[in-house]
Amino acid sequence: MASPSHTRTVTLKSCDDVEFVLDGSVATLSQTLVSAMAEDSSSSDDGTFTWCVSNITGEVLAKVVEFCNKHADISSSRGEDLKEWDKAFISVELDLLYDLILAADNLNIESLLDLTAQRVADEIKGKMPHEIRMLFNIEKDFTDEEEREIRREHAWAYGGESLKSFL
Amino acid sequence: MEGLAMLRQFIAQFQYFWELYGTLPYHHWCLLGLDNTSIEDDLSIIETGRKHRAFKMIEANRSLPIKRPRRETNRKRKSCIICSTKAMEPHIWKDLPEDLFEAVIAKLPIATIFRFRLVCQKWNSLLTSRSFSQHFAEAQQVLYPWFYIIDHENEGNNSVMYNPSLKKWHHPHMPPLLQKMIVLPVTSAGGLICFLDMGHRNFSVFNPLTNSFKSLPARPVYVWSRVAVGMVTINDGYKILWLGCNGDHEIYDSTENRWTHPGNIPPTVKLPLSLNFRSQPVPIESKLCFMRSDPDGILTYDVVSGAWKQFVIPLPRHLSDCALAESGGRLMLVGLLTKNAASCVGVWELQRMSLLWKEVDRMPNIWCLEFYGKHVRMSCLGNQGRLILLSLRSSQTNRLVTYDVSKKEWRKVATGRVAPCGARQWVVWGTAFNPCPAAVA
Repeated sequence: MASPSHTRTVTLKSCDDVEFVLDGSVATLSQTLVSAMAEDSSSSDDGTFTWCVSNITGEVLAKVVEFCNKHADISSSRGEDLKEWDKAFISVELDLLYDLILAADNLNIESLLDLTAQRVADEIKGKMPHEIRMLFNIEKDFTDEEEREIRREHAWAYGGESLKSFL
Repeated sequence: MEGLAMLRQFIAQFQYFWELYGTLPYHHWCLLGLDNTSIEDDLSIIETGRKHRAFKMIEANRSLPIKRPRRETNRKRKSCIICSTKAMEPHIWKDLPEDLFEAVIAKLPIATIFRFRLVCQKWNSLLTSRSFSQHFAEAQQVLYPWFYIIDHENEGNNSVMYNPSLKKWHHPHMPPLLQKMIVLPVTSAGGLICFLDMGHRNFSVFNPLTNSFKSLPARPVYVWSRVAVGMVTINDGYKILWLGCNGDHEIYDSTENRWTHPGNIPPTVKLPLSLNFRSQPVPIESKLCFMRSDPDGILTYDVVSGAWKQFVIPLPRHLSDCALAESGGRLMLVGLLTKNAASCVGVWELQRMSLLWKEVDRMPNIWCLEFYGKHVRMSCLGNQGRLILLSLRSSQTNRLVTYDVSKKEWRKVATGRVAPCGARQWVVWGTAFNPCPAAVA
């Protein structure tokens, strides 16, 4: 049985057969890998563990591994610096962002899920409810009366004004 | 009998404003049907108001050197929305698993979360779900508190909310029951604001985001003397404590929905308590801290053990108005230092070992110059969380100032048209609260 603590290296294999070798401590950022390693009884005694991620491509997995390596490296991961690094890291094309948030969810990497979710939130925050429905293919299931009622209930949320708009 | 009660209420209100502001605002005379102010007085008040507005405009232009015409800003905003619509392709994003929505929505600005309730029933009901509350609490914990502010201009409760992170003002609706009386926001906990009416009898609890509202059982007797009110969250509910100067106190427990009298204050605590009513009690761990004088210090009540304790802590010299504040478990003191003709706001932190206030910061000198030679009053409109909100009033100017305790950063708050600055006599009350969609009154 391979426990995360004494697994030295983890090999991740993407769906297009690209392999990434991670340090055992880096892999513990992924809760999916941690539980997989804990459950796995067939793993070799030499402390290596191989895991196939069937739905993530090599391109996306490379980004995930880059993120994990940075975040596991405690010496370089300090407050403001790490924030700046995260900001640069997440400035990706929106198609890749989609793959990244799915990968973060799939591998259950909390910090990456936070970061990707924040970027998606930043992308959609300026949209109107009907645009959101179109984007995520959501059906409108309110009657006009219900819609008016909700609007009335939280009228404060529609009035947010900043001083800049008055100048 | 009724006439006597009315007279008492009038006297109580008069005392209230006299103690607080050293003056009685014009509109309250109107409210009480005692409009005896002379025309000249009235004119001078309006004049002051004009000057105030003119000054504000200059100040606003000065503080924001990059002035962009409104149209241009709008155009920029529009083009942004268009490009992002183009960039996020529905044929890709339509397949986003539903369970990821919660994580994403929790990261949105709070007002946006409420606007997105209109997307569909599921998004609408999300706000009350437990798992979403968890996400939301984690996502928002690093942010500043919001502030709920009330003035009583035009004979009613005018309330606004200020979100310092986005520098936005919002207009909350007030429940009809609260609109019927003059109320003050006296404290808050866990996203709920506690209001008390001018008769110090009727307490209500309100979540301004969701309109969740509860009127607490009235206190059994009419007590016209003022009370200090503290609030804490406990398990799935909250407790509210009122304390009078003679040591009388009661605790409300939301799970039992009743007031109880938990016992007497020990003889080690000096009575009567000269409570500082301008300083809202703050929670430190399970203790509520009240500010008292004679002797100067702090009175604490442990809501878990029920124990009262008194700490004698000398106040810094030359301090006029002052209030306690809590930030990240630290007990702070903010106060107005007045010496000769100069006034400045100082911030102190309590040294727990020596039980002394240690000065940690002062308002920038250049800001203090504005108040030189003027009679200034300071009131604290929010004393919990990472940000303290202060109102500094002199005869001609009203300033809202925030202080970030951890960054030691002072900021002037731009009030715009929406803030309660149109008031001739800008009398405002406020409390800090943590915006929490799941908090139920």
